[in-house]
Amino acid sequence: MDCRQFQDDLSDAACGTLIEASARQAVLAHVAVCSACAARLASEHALTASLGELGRAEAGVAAPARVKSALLAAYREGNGPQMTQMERIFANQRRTGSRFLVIAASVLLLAVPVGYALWPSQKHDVESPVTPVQSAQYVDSQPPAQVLVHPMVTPTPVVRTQQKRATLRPARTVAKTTETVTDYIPLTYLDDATAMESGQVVRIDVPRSSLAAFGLPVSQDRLDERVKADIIIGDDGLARAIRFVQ
Amino acid sequence: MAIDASTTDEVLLIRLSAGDEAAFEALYDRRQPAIYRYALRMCGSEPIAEDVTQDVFMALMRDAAKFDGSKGTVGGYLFGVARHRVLRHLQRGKSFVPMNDALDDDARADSANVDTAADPLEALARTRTIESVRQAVLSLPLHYREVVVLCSLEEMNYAEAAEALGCAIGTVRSRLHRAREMLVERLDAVRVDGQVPARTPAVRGT
Repeated sequence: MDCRQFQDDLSDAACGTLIEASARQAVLAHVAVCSACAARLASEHALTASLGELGRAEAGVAAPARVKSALLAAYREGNGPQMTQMERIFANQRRTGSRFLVIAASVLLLAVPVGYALWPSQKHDVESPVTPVQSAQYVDSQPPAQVLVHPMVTPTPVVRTQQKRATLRPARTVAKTTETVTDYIPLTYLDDATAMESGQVVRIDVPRSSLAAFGLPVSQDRLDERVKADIIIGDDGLARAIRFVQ
Repeated sequence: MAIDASTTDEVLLIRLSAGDEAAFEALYDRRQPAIYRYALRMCGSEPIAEDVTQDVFMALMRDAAKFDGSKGTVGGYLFGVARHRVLRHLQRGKSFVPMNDALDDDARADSANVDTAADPLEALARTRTIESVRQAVLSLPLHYREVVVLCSLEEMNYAEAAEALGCAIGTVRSRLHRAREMLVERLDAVRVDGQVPARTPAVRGT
């Protein structure tokens, strides 16, 4: 074996990859007489050990639990044909993430005083201009018309108590539940051209800090918690409005 | 039917496509860590790794019924999707923050998994070695990085890596050979002058 042949078998020999016994013997015989190749083999052994150490150190690394939660929720919601829509929503969430920041900054400037003033006093206001829409499975072609007539202005966080209609969620809802929700808050980066004719409402979990981004009060020590939110998604995959659920 | 370690990926796939949530969960738990680590090691960014993992399993949900076992394994399919998503992220230039910044202190301590009780100096040296190797891997050009991640860190054999990468076994072998040469050079340089290997641009082929 010469140095060139040695190079060919070097990685396999150093990795412990299965190679023919005769080839291994030839490698060992070569390094016994070639100091340069012996040094190279030693380096390869050291590299193998280092990579093994890195591999072992990171063996327990895995995706955070929230990824699994989101996927399981998507599986339950969209098991079947709606999965494509769910995927668009996930993608849209990510795509619009930066836009949310811009929107949130502008909304925050205008809405914080209003939000603080109105939030505590209207917790049980049952009147709302928004028709509650229950789930992605139910809403297929009827958008909440109020979103279209909502002026793209500062959101007024009118909060109401809402009785869920169990019949709208036959797959999962077994009893009536009570929820407190804000009004739908239009996403003001949209213009008339993006007014939608149909869409879906999808419930997601978001960080509680998102409330502040939309001018709603949130306790500083609860920023890490998560709250439910309903997002209206147009057929083009763009989010049109959001409301928060308690 | 109960799910255990002997339940194959293919069976889980059939069951999840029929709406069996437990099957989806089992397949996710079985395959997710390797997918996540692959994305993390390729991109060096936890948020991107999360995105990729999520995308991979969303694709699995959507296409489970279309999976053709005669064309490859479920694991190979998942890595193939993950690779596609990783490349897309890198090509978009969203790219990564350094992994040592992305990992918080706890995660870094966990990942280093250092036996501090035994010998602090040895533990420190080991931590440095691990970090140097991690940075050296991340500094490799893309095609070399992925074979190192799959073969050396995830301990795939050449055939499995070839399936995941969609290339010939010989290509995997030759890329790994070259990648290891580059790693040896870079780690030697670190040992000599203590510099962490410079990163290559996000996307660079061969």
